[in-house]
Amino acid sequence: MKTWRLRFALFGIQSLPVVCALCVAALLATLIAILLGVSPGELLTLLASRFGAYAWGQVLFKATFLTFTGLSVALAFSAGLFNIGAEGQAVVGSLACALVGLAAASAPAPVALCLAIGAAFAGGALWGFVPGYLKARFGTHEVINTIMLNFVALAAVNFLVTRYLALPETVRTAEVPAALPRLDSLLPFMHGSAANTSLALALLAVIAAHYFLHHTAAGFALRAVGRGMRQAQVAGIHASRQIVLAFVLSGGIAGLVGTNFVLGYKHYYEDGFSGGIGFLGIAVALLARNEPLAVFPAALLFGFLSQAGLAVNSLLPREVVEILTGVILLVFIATERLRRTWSQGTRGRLAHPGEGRP
Amino acid sequence: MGRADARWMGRLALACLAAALIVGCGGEESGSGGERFHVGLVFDVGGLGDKSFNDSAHRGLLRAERELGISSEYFEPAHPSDREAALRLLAQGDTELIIGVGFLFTDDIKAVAKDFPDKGFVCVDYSWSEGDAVPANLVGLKFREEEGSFLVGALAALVSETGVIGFVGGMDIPLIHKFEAGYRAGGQHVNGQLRVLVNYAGVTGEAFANPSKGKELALAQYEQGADIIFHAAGSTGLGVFEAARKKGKLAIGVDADQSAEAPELIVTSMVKNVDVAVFEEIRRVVSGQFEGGIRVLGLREGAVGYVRNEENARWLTPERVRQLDRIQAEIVAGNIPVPTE
Amino acid sequence: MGNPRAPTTELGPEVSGASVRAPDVRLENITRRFAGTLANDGIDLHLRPATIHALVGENGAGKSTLMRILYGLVRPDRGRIRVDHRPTILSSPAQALGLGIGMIHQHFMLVPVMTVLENIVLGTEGLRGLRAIPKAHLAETLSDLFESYGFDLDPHARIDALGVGGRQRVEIARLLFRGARLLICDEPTAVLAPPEVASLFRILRRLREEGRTVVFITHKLPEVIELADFVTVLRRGRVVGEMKAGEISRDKLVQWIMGEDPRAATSVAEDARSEPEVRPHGEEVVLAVEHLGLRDPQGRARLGDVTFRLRAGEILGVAGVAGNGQRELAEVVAGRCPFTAGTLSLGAARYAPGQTVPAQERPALIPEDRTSEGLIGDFRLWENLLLGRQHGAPFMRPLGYTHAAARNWARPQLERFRVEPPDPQLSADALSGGNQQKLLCARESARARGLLVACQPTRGIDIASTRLVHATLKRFRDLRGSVLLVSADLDEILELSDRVAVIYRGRLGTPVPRGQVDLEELGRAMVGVSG
Repeated sequence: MKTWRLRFALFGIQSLPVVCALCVAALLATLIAILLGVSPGELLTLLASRFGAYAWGQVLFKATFLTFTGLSVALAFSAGLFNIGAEGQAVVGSLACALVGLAAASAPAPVALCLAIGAAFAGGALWGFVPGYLKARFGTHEVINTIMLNFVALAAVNFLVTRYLALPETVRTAEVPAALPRLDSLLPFMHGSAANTSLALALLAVIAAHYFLHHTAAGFALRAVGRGMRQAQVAGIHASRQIVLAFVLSGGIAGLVGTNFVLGYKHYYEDGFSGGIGFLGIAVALLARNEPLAVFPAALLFGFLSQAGLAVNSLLPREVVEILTGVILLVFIATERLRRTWSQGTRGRLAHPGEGRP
Repeated sequence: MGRADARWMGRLALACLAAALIVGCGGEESGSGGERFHVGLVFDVGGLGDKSFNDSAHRGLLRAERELGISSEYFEPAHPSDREAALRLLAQGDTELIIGVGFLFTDDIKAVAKDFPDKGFVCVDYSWSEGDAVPANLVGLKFREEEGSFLVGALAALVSETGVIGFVGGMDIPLIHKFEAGYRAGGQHVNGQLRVLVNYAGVTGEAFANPSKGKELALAQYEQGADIIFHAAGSTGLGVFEAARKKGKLAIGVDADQSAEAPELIVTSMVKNVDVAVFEEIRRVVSGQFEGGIRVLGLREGAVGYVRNEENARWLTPERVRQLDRIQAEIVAGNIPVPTE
Repeated sequence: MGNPRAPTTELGPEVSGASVRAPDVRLENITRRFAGTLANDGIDLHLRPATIHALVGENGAGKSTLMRILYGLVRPDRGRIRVDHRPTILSSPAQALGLGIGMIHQHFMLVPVMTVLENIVLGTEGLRGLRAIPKAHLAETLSDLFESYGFDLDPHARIDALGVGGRQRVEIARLLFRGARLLICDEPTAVLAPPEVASLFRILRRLREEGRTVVFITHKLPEVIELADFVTVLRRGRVVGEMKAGEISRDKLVQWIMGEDPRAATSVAEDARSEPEVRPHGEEVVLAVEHLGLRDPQGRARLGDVTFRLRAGEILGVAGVAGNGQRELAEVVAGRCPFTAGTLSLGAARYAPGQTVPAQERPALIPEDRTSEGLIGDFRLWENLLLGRQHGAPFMRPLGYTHAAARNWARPQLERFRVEPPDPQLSADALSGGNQQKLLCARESARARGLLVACQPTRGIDIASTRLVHATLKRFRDLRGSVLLVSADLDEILELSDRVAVIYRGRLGTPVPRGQVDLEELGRAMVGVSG
């Protein structure tokens, strides 16, 4: 077979899981709509009518959240660690962001902004450090630890905010003067959208994570621990250091969620804002096969799904979005195995073109 | 990932079941319809189906559809940041009146109302503070829960034989303190010697969804001599009713008529008539009388009150009802100050 | 089936009968492809009853795949199997066992905390469900079986109390108990000391005399010549030749195994003979170990009172049967594992018990298990070469590296060590065992500064790879490096080492210069017979 045909086939195989997942999801959505007595045409019309510039802005806004949390999960997984705690890390980072932003209110705006962004990272990193340290020092399982720390973070922050920090009759802090400009200040047609320049920060984080993992010695050591902890240790890599580092970076990135919500959107911390974005980050990382560069497209997909679900909410119950998210992941995981086997075969044939026997 | 998959699968299975049920019930025509006046309503995350004030708002909307001939649609946001997005999607369409249910809408609805000055907005449980300028096209609805609580407190004092009554709150926040303050004042208005036991289930949102904690607190209060307990604690209150059934003591429900939760033992329920308020605002817009601003609704407006039905007639004797009516009249007239803290 | 003695009774195996009729098995045109490579390519093989049939070939030649097909673990893409002239589809080991075909894997499948008896009856027909195991009866049956084969096993001993040889005999007994009449042994001698090899061969011959067939995979040609009635050579998934006992020639075998490569055609043994007996070595002590002891976390002694010195330009061979502490010794010396008694000196640095050797001071180590300790399977070849050297690699720039630079750095190393295929982009688990070992050797010999610890460096790999690994170790020694060589393969130890010491139950004997080694004495020391 010709090389270009093999390459084309390989590309097809590589994109198979995503394509399958999306097709099945679209079919299922249509089916559910028909079962609920909604005609697919009506559904599409409503979707189209509600998908203007504003809605696309919202997609970007949601994708910003999911890029941070998805990248957080993917980075931890590069070191072989399951970070189920992005939700808690995001909450702690966001609160830290708001508090430092408030404390630095009198500082010059760029300084206050940098401090607040740094605090978001540091807060998340601190919350990530805990399970990392526990894993490295005592070998306790990070899944359990991060789940528990989610509870601790959500409850503790809720307590602090509602008891001490909230303005009267609200569950939010005072307004932080430091702010990241919204995208609608640059692109007026997006007026009202919450999308803001923390999107650039998210993309920067994606590129930095990719560069770190695939082009630096430190990132190499991290990946080595992720793929083969024992082998890396035998080769002289300090595995526990890499575990702590991975969790600190992972938590820090999750903490940057605060820049999107606190600095970019509301300009204050509001209790309960996270609403499961940390958990959806796991789905994003899964769909991105834990590759940083694929995190943003995956985040866009889930962002779109969420906004589309809202747009047609009067026709379809919001649970449909959750069903579709689940189905996309299920189909993706199921076809992922096929992709691996097939792409290995095709790669093998690309590598050894001589062995052409059918 | 096994854990997440399992969760997704569980949800999927549930959703399939739900879909089948919905199909069984048949589809219902909704959506924006032609020339009719269109009203949109946005619930808070997880709002619809709470058997309390969200559902009550929904009833008001349905009643307006029936009686005023409007068309309507509603949104259930899946994520907190979707509250504003849903308001904006409605405002960008042909919806004329947009209603947000819950105090968390306060900031969002204010911002959106400013962006769309030719649309009408209503926020249920608007959290208003001193110096807050409300846009001219926004109505902020506030309820005097303390007034309703005052009445059920007075009733509890009349019914109690031990001279001790209890209060179980959900989350320890000012909103729930209003219930406690009115209840205490009402009880002590009737009986100056009355003792009021007070407990809160917690400081997090979880405190509204913890029946076992509610039961534990209620049992303790019954042990200490309380023979009637008023709860303002969401589903935590279900635990209070369970304790009442176990001890054979009395309880008072909240938000909606809860007499079915512990038959024979629910003296009454303090209700907040959100449906009435929502219907009233829609009526005003339809008849061209819409006017922005804060509307504080209490006994005078019939927006709060207590349940009176056949079942609880044995506690609500004509004598006691007359007594409560007198107190109500005094409150409306401003002769009895009702505290909020 | 035409076999009156087929083991159809629940617990009454045919164990020590005078004659057993083994199935006549023919594999015809067997073809199987894995991920783009043909593991088996039209293989024909006739396994005649009551013979010992050796299967030889390089790693990746397709021996294991073929045997896994015969045992029902792998389905062939094409071809068929005839058992007693009847075409048969084997889709599970249970089915193969039903036809009397059993397999002993390289890694034993025994439950360490259970007894010999329990392991043997585990999963046997008739013992499913909740019925109690008739232990007394079984123990008697097994004792008879052990005695008749000279197994020297106690049915009530726990598996973890047995040595490697004992465990292997349990595996064989288990197959016999289930009525296996054709036994497949995958490299049965790779883990055994010479006396144990001899007793295994006695057992295998005994099985043949009873009428059973034995198929064994091996890399050791002397064993083939000594034992086999037939030998089949595989190369690149095809049969290149078959010989009968008596006409087997070592040179011919090597030629078939290696193919037409003239470089490889000369035998390894000849090379070794041309080496000088004792090489002059320097006086500089690179490694000194004094009264070294190691206890595991449960308090059991793993190493006791180990004392030796290793000078620059010297290979010290540690011989011993697996499980006698050589692995622990290698790990301690390589600084991968803290010890509990004595001292360890690496160059000028002395370490006390409990101290850890800083990462940059640790000697290079070729670990015992190349797949779980040495290489990362789904890392690319260049990544595996870089492992542990990532901070000092020449292509590393302060701001990071490019993959092109990494590949360019890796390619000449792969070529120098004849890693096939020398494509830095491949993942390590795409390589055969021998090529993996060469890759590991390339990395560790480049990392080593003065001291290299090599643990079973050629276990289970083919002749060409073995030659390369040996050449690497010798070259390293000739450049005044020191090697601590731990191996269960006595030939290897004797070929490479300047001095040889035997390890038995965590204690290391006095190193003896190679010229003074008494083979008999060495073999006895390995099983703890001599003083």
